[in-house]
Amino acid sequence: MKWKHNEPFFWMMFGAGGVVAAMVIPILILFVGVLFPLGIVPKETMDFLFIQQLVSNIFVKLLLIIIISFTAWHAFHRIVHGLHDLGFHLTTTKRAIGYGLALLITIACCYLTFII
Amino acid sequence: MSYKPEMDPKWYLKSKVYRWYTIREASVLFMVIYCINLLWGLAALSSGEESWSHWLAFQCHPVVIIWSIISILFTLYHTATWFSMAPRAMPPIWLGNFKLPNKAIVLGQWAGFFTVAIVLIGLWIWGATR
Repeated sequence: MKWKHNEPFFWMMFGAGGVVAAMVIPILILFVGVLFPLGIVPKETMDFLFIQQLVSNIFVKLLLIIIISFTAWHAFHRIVHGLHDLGFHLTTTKRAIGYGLALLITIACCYLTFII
Repeated sequence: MSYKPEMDPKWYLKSKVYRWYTIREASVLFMVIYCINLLWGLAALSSGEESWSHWLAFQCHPVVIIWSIISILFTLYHTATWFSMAPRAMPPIWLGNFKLPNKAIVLGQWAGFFTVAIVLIGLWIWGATR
């Protein structure tokens, strides 16, 4: 089977992840990485019991899985094609490693959100 | 017989367009690193309060805050490029005989972006302090 038959699926994940990454990722980094550490938002927002209770909600779990794994599929699609830009010939093995890492992040994210 | 085109190894430094293209492509590296950071946070959350506070202390380290600010700049550039290419990647929207201008689609997405930002931050603070 030629690789081009798989391309629509990865392209779809790239598109979905691109939207999620564009809409949510900068805000998420702003909140967790800047506003919280600088004390601009109350420290209760990252309180252990609060976050634990938040992540035990099924909708929050699904939201986290969508945000983290779709972003990973988007990113690894660009990384795989970026290898071509850097002069590496794209082989099925290189693609499989790239998308495999996105799959690994997806599995890890599902596992970690569901054990909480 | 295969054809292998010659490629300048520093092609991405050769023009302004290539440099911005490379910055956009590089934005995904910051996304991956942040996703791994978040996964680490989830792992810390599941292993107890002590690991969670270690993860939080790491987020508050000055170097990590600077890294976060750099990541915001790169991912915001992805947002800007994503929003401005959307009208070119989708079929035109017709309102009767009037074609919705590309500018309106781009501005609509930015309105969505700021709505998500305000709702997310607002709900988060409200939920934690009520």
